[in-house]
Amino acid sequence: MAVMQNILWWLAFLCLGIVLQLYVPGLDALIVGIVLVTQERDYKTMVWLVPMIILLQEGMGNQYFGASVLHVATFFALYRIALSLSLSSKMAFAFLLSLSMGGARILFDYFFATLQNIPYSMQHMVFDGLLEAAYLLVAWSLLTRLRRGLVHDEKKKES
Amino acid sequence: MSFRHSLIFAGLLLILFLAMYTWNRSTGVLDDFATNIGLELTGIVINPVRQLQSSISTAWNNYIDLVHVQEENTRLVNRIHELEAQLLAHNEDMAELRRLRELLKLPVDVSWTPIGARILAGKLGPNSQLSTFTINRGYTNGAAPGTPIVTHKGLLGRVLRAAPHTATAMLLTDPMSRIAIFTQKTRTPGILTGGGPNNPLEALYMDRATKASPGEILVTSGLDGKYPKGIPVARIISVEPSNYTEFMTIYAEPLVDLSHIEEVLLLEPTGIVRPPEPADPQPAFVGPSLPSLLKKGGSSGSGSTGRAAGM
Repeated sequence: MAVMQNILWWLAFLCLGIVLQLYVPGLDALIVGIVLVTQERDYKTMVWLVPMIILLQEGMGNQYFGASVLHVATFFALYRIALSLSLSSKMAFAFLLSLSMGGARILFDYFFATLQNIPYSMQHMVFDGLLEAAYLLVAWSLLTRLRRGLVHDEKKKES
Repeated sequence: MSFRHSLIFAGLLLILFLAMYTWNRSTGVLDDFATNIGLELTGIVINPVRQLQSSISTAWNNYIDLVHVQEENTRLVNRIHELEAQLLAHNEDMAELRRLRELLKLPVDVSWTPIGARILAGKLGPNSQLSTFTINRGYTNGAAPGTPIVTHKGLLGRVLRAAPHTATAMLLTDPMSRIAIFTQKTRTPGILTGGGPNNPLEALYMDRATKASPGEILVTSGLDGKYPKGIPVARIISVEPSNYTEFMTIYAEPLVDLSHIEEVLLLEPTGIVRPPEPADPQPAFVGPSLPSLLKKGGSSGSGSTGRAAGM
């Protein structure tokens, strides 16, 4: 039951993430899912969730395939680096990682726009990066609490 | 893992990534795969949301908020749209009539079929740096990549990528957009390119001798083979000689209000070649007269040809 509930939870997350992206142009609403499964060390979910998020983002975008792959790979690298810093506060850890992901987003937008010879607006890129950082910080905190309340309690009951 | 090993590992991953990126750019395999799955799933999620939103909006507008006035207004707005479309088509007819003088009306272009589509979303996700929008049709139902998209007011863009039932289309305002056009009255050819969101379009390579003036309509020339000939695209807002090139600097604004579009028309190629314009009559034969035997056979032969032509 807990496995099924977990899968349904993630499917609902993907659907709501896509709908959120529909109303907030340029937002990467799904990366927070990868953050959560990494934090929970839920490798079974990670196996299908990460490729699914990459395919969704690449499919609905209009660039050549690759930006999301690099973005996700950068998240894993940054997560590892942030862990190695042994920060005492969870909030400081989340803040540092969110800010780094926002910065990485600006860097990659610039990198891929230059690589594909697409005209770009630095102002929009910086805005998207800041939006990404703010969203990640808020969504991470909210979804962690939500999952603790819904999925983890169910697991505890079953065990 | 030591720092040195981490660096080597990261370098190897980067090389692998660049190899994958280059391979995909030349083959498009991963793009097609991601479009067929990612865009299709996105369409499956967004379609019901848009339909629900549309139903709620329609219910609110038609039944709660001033029922009869709203209905009347909707009907009148639709009528205005129809009349505007007729007026634009009429203007194009008139321009062509003036130019050709002998034709009475435009021949019906059978090489394109209009198909209706609904806009699902604008810029979607972090990988959308081009000015694009998503529609509820894919390559299985009329939105193959390259298909022109129009509204009742004029050209909007073309399909960029397509999944089976969802597609992403590029707006004419995107800097990557190129459309072969000419001016409606003076027939000066050029290339129309986008200037980005909220920036005017620019008509490139327009001859300095052009008599184009602000307010004139730019229409597709069809010379690029991507768009049908004669679709209104933009209205000229400024014309002045370029300080740097041998051409005119012409800026224009799209005829379509890009911020308020819900439904569009896709122009799907039918595969039927547009019939060529009528050729000149065959010149009269000048030469020595034919022998009498041949003349007899020739007259009966011309009769059968005439019947065949008549059929």
